[in-house]
Amino acid sequence: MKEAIRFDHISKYYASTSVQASDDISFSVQEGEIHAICGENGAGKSTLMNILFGLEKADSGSVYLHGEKVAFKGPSDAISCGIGMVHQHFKLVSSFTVKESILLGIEKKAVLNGKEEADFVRELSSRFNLPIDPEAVIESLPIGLLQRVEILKMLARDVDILILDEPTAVLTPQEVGPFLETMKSLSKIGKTILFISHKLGEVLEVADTITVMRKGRVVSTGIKASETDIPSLADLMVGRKVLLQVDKGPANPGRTVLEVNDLNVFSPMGVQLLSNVSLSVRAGEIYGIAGVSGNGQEALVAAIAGHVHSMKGSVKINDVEIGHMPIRGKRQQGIAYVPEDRIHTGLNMLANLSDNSLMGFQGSKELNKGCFLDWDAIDERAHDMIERYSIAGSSPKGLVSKLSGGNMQKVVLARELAYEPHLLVVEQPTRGLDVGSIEAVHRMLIKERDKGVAILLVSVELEEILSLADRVGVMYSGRIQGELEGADINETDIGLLMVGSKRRAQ
Amino acid sequence: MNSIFDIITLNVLASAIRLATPVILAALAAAICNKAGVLNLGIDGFITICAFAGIVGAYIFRNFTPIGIAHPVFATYMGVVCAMLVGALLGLLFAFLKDSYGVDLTVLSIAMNMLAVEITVYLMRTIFHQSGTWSDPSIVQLPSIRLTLIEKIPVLGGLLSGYNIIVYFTWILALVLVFVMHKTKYGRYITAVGENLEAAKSVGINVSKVRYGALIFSGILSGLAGSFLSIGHLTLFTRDMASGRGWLGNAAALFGFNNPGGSFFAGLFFGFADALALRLQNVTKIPPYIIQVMPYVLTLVILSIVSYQSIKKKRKRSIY
Amino acid sequence: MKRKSFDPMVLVMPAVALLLGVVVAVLLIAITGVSPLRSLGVLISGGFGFSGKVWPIFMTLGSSTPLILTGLAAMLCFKVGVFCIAQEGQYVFGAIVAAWFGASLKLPPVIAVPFIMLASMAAGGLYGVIPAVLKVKLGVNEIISSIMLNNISTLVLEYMVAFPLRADAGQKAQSEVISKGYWLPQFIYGSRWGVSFLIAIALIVFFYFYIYKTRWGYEMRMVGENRRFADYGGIKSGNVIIRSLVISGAIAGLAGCMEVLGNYHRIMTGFSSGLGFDGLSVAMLGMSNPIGVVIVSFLLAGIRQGAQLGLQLSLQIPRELGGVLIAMVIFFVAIGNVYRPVVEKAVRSISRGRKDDE
Repeated sequence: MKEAIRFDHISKYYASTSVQASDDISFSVQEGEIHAICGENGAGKSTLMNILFGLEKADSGSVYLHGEKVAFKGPSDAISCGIGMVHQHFKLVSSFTVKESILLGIEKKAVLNGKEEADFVRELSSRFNLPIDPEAVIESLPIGLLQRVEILKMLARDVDILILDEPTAVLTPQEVGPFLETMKSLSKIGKTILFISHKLGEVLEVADTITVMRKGRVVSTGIKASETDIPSLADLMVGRKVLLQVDKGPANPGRTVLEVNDLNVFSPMGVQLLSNVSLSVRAGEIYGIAGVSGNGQEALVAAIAGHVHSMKGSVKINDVEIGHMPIRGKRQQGIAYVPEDRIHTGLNMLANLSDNSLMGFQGSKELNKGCFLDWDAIDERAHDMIERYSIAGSSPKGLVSKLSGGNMQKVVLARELAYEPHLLVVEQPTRGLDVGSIEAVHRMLIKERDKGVAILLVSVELEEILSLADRVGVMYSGRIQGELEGADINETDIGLLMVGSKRRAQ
Repeated sequence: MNSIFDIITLNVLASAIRLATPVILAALAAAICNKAGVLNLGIDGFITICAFAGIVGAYIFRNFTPIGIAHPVFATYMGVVCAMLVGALLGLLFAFLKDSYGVDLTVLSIAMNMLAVEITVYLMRTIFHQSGTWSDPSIVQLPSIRLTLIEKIPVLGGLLSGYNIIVYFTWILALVLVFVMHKTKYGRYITAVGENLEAAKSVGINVSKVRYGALIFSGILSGLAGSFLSIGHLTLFTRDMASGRGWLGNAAALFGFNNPGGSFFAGLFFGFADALALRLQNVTKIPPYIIQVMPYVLTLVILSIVSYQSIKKKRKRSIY
Repeated sequence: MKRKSFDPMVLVMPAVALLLGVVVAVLLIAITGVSPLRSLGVLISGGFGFSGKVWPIFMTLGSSTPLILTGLAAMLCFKVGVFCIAQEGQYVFGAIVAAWFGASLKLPPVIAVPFIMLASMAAGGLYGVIPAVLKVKLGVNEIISSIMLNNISTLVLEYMVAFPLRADAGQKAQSEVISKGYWLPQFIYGSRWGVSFLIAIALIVFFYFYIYKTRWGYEMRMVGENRRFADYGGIKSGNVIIRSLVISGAIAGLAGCMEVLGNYHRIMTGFSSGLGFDGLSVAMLGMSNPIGVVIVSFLLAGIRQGAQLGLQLSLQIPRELGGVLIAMVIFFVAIGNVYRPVVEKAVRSISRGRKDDE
């Protein structure tokens, strides 16, 4: 076997976020193998791939392609040297057809010949056994097929090294299996594949060789997939034996706060996003919604705490129907909501902490003096929040955009908890946070539960659900596939429900 | 009472086609920019400046004797070239500021539109010492070209002949653009850059090149539109020569869904409304303002409909 | 408690833009052959001087009045993140209503004047509803709809002064002079500086408090800065935008009304001549701050007047230079990104130097 790529002492530092994304990385990838690069979020996998693909420049170190030193100025350089990349977020023009998307940028002649192009795409798709209709319009295709278009786009450019950045993250469970088969067959015909993933099961199923990264460094490389297993890879990846565990007493649930009954939600196009969802959350418990993202969680949260285009069924808070209320009305009924996207939705990055902490309370009597806002009281209150939730590096008049992700999330939580809500809806509360912040956020949630708040926790991180939830509802394709409670909550059953098994395995 | 055919004569239609030309050019310019994702609201200002550049160019070349004798018509054509050059430079400036410094084109356009009116009058006053309008007897109009072959076609023949070169060029250009946008890779690149920048970048399309191209192209078309006003349709320059035609072009482009074909017909339609207003003013007692206001009201109405439809389309794609 | 530390760039950037605009203006003066230094002197004394029968500075204060109001109107649109430029049309509509009622009402001034003002504000406000609703409900580009509306208003004005409101005598298309009892008094006769200026300043103060010290202003700012955040927090952002644009329209309408009641006393063809666009410049240069609006209005009014009364009359330099200067300043504000790094570096080194001194 010959060496395809070699990374030689690659380092990359982001001054803006002061993160050492790559720290003296060296390893090599052999021709024709499926080489998995594993690591948690933020381990530096994507940065390294962007450097290889010419999207970013390394501060130091070099990349060798088939033994020759290369430095790509941009993706087109990399592509012409035979390296293709399929990004996590597809780069497709939604009004284009499949053939237009695949051939964009590599048209043979200035004047186009639609039939020739379609024939070319048909031939390509049958050669690699990736069936697709060349005339289909991108915006009408499901995600699995979009990914296929992206792969064909690269194959049409005759690449022999393919970088796949978290390719299975966006797929439904049914699409994952066939996709892994595709990878294997591509590797069989001699393509080298760099498979970026943190899903160890998939890695072990397809990869020949594994490199594990952590915090910008290579922890271990050249691991043969046949000679390792999930626990030892997980150890390398996480770097410590114990999983995140929060001290949590048993729940002490009270009366029912949130009651969702036979809820159906439709998109403006008439697509059913939720089908007959029923669930209830009681005071003093955390109800976890587990499931692969895109199985109706967004619609459920929107129906409870936001706004949906059209719905049937009922959503009640303390026996008050709130389904059709405007957001302000829902909040008045005692709903607080921590959205997934804290940067664009949960906070106003252009404003200071006082402004951010005031949202929703601008009409409250305590913070107004007659017609005017009482800024002294507002700043005082913001100051209290900073102290109570130890929001580091902040002042009432300081911009929230200067805070770290964990502290931003604390600002959102602090404001939402100030509603003294009956129901707290939290969506992906720890995405992108460091370990310390995750623990802090988790502790805050448990504390609120113990104070008697009903909490609806939506998370795709299984660990989070396992360590926090008192009851779990698993969502699959717009419905609650199954509910688990107390000691019954376990990874295997949730996993089965997540992929749509009808009955729980005993 | 006049019958409808007394009002809309062949002459009125021909004048509609003439009056529509700068609006069509502006619409095509705006459409290409919109397609490439660089909203250019400065076209109105471009046109005013180019109109001035065109007439000044014709004036400068009035004594130019490359073939032995000074030829006034040659000077007029040189005026058109000057206007196109100035337009291209303005487009280049916009592209450079957008591409290299991320300047907000909307604010820049507002500045350009204000500047255009004031600076042209300022220069007219300082150089030619005229305040309201400026003209020079040595400047001649762009000649009308009669297409004898086409004139022989009954009814339509008269309507399709007897215009200056810019009018014919506009027609051909619209056809060419329809072909380029739908049948060549360049059209595909422009659409890709405008719709999904990242997608275009990821396949190695030179985004800067496309943006530069679109903005410079819009400048050149503004040059044609401007010189059409100052040395094609009339032979004088007045304050705010574009008088909103660039804006009408922007509206026409949206009206035509940013397709060259649609924009062409939208521009033609606006020109027709304009000509009809002039005509009604002459032959009826209806106050001209009521007809003059029509293109603007129609634009608002149709823009609302168009926007509503695109909102509906967008909503279909989103989840909520 | 720690207050927000003041960022000097907020003041320095517009100042640099102004300076660059002046440099371009000087170059343009140079081509006329007049000494630029002398011209600038004339421009300043013509705009801000203290000599002559009516001091120029008073006239500048007078002509800054409509600018303050249209600038405030534009600023209120910017605050909610809408680049609405309909002030010109709203100003014209306010003026039409004022001229109409001013000439036809037969009521005592105590009742009539406030009534006329309210009517003009209503006209401007109603006019503001159109781009607002089109923007919020249909997503129509507010710039294009405003431009169309401005064109419509110009035609309506021409129609009104040519037909229904036309004064009988004279060849010029203009309306009848409004009843003398409704004229707003001027402090110094011939300066245009009068009661309307005080009303404008009062509105500035009012809106300063409105924007920064009330819940409604807070909602406006949040909608303008991050609409998703506002919606998430339960603010009905569409309503806030429409409300702001209507208020903005009412203020622009009031500006037109004041010009009729306090200054021209009638309307005629070409009544507005780009005042709305000047309001836009004021809002952009004034960094969307009410106090900034007052300062910039005063500066721009002075430049326009200095160009007209100083440059054109005494040096035969076209008065358009004033407009060019203003447009260039906006141009330099727009391309601020080009020179911001240089200015930032300079400011930082200066402030560092100052700290070392302490």
